Amino acid sequence: MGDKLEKMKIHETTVRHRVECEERAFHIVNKLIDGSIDEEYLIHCGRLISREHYSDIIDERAITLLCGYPLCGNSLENIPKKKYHISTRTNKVYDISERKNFCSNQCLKASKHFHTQIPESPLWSRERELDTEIVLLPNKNIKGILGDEVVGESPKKLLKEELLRLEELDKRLSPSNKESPEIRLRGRTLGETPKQKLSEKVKTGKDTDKLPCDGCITNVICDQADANRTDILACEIKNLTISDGENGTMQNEALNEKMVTNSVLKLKGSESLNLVRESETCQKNRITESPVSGDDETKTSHGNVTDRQGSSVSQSEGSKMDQLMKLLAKKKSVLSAMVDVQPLIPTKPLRPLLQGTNPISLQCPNVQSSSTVDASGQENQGEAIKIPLATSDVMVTESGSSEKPVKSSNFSNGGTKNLIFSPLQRICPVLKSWVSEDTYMYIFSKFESKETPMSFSDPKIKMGYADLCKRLDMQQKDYENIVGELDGATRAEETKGKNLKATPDYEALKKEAEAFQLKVTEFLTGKRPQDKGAPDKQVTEDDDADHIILPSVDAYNQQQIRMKIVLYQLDKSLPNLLTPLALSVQDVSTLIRELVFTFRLQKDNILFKPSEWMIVAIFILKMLSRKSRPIAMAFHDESATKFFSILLKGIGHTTEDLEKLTDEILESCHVQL
Amino acid sequence: MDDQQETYKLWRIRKTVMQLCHDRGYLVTQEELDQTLDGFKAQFGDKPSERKPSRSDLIVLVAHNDDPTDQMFVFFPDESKVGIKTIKTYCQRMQEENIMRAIIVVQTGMTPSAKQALVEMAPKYILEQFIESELLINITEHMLVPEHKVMTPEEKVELLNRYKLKESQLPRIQQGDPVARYFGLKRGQVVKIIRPSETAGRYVSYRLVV
Repeated sequence: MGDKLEKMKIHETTVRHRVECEERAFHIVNKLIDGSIDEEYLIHCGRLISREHYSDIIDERAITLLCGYPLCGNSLENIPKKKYHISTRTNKVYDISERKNFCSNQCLKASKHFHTQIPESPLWSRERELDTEIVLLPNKNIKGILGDEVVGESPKKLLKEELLRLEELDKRLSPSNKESPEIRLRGRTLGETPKQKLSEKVKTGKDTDKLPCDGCITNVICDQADANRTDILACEIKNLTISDGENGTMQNEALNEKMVTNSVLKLKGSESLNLVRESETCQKNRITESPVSGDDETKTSHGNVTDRQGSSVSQSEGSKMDQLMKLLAKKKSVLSAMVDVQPLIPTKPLRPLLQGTNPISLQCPNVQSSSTVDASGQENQGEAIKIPLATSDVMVTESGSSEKPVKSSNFSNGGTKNLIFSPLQRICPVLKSWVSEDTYMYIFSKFESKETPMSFSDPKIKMGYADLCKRLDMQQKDYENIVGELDGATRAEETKGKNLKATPDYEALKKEAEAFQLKVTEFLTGKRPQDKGAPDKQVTEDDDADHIILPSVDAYNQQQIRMKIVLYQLDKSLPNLLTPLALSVQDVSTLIRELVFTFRLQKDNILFKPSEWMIVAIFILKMLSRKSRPIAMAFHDESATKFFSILLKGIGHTTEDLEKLTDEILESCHVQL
Repeated sequence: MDDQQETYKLWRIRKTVMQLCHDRGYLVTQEELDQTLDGFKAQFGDKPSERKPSRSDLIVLVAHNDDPTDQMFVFFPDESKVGIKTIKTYCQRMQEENIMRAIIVVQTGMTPSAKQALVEMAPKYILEQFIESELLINITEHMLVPEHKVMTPEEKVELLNRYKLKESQLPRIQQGDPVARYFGLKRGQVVKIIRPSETAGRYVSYRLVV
């Protein structure tokens, strides 16, 4: 019995405690309803009431025509009767039933801010919990809200979300870069400047939400930014875009590119461009600060520009530059990811080099300082930091080395030592297996593409194709006739007569059967018969003379599918290469198409990583340069050579290597013969 | 809502309130019970939008038949949603006039804290709340609602003795039951429910309020 009594007592005390808590909350509500109070008390109360109590307070205050926010003592006037507000400025419909309880948009926002911070746990269980600091929204300089949007989910918001998601994808795509922590560290030390510390300070302020309008990054960079330099950089970035297989990334990068060009224009146009981003957008996502977010939010924060360094460069420039570098870093990271796979490839030898040639890297203060921003600006982005950091180092070295030939040769030595492991060497055998006799003939046919056996522009084939079409047409007619026969008895005799007339002679049937046979063998082997090898070569060549090569009627022909795949992948990576070559897609597309038609594609040799496709594309362009003069000329252009040397250096090669390997590939078909 | 409709509504509400008071045993004159719409308009006016009448004009004070000191207020607050402030003013008035019971007829509802305030005052001052729409008709006049009679304490004792019952052995009715609210029943009271029956003519049952 005593046990039971004990239990009862304990139970009673707990219940009493709960009731007490409720009562206390009720009294607080009563107190908050009457007039305004000070901030400290409100914060204190936040821990003793529940969210329901708080909404009750708002209601009660509104009933007595007081602004719902307890800190505000304004009385409510001119309360609208309507439930929704249609904003003609933003083209949205707001539910203002909540807003009616407040004197201003600011109060509504502040109140909501407070409301979300009230713990959701029951009142009586809060004593055991850790106190969470409740922070009030400063009631000045904030842009209030009108209420919940009802209609017209803004496209901006959707875009923002989309971009955030893509960013996530990007992060996941490039985990390989984490392998080089040393480089990352190096990047840090590079970035360790007083300015960076400053920027960090700013950031911490931002994190606590106390400096909502502070810009994010200090104005570290490009005081003496020479426009030319940035221009080249931007060009490089633009062209270095390596198309990852992911569709999303493609979009993302495309957007990035647009922005980069934008920023370059701005950099050129006005050194002291005074555009400030809202800190929120900067925190979330760099990309969102594209033209999209430049609306009245930015306007409101205009007054709070902090020109800390007093330099002429504004924050926006900093961030733009930052982005530029980040973008470049990203492209590089894809390439260097390939290098990372092979442990011997010289990312590490690179660093001592850099240390040794410090003055060189100082030659381009522009680049370095912006990489500093890179390092600092991304601290708060978690995972994302590591990637650009890891690569920014590499990037700096490269831009440095491109100005000093001594170093680049040094580097290429290191590269050739480990050539066996390089991606080029990996791709070469595959390409060799592609190249057929036809390819060789095609390439060295003295600019006469008409001679290619598979070309659709060949009149012979065209004739054959027309013939086939005619025959198919006839067959179709026959079929229709038969159907018609079933339909009506009256027309039956007529059609029969026609049918008899249309009967082909034996020769034609035989031809048809042979052609069909050929098609079947093609389908079964998965490649064209003349590819079988040297002994068969004679025969197939004879066949060529006799037979018309039919274009495939089977859309699911494997060979066709492979070609499609290859062409599709090349199409994706080509635009990036064509820009530095100053060629248009139209210039090369037919040539590439024709060349690919001569390839022997197998099921196991058409699979590459997205970045490898780029290299394949380079090789194919190189091959075509043997055939087409414009392409060859384009390769000799100065900017193109520079571009390719930089690009190849990223994977440890020089243009000479490329040249040599292309020769090798083309010769390979002779070896087979 | 136009004036005519509003006036009609107010008249219905007030009429139901009068019937309610009458059924609870408070003294209401026959005139008031039979008041027509025209009579209502004549007494209070027919323009509620211009506060003729305003809701607070409808306030009712009734005294009990048996004990003239037992009086009851019926308040009609002007606000559509009643907050704690209004409740407090009513309480003050009740204290001043030493009246223990009151009914508040609200337009759309009460805030939770106002409801809690009602509960806080419960033992001494008894405040009940009705929403206007609940009083548009008198539910006890509905054909499906059987006749309820509130039993006095003496009747209750007699009942329990007669059938040798304990309280807990009676069927029950909730305090929140619409009819129980109509009669303002308190816990422990017993109602006598009389239904017509085809076989027995009248079927009587008793229910204890819980």
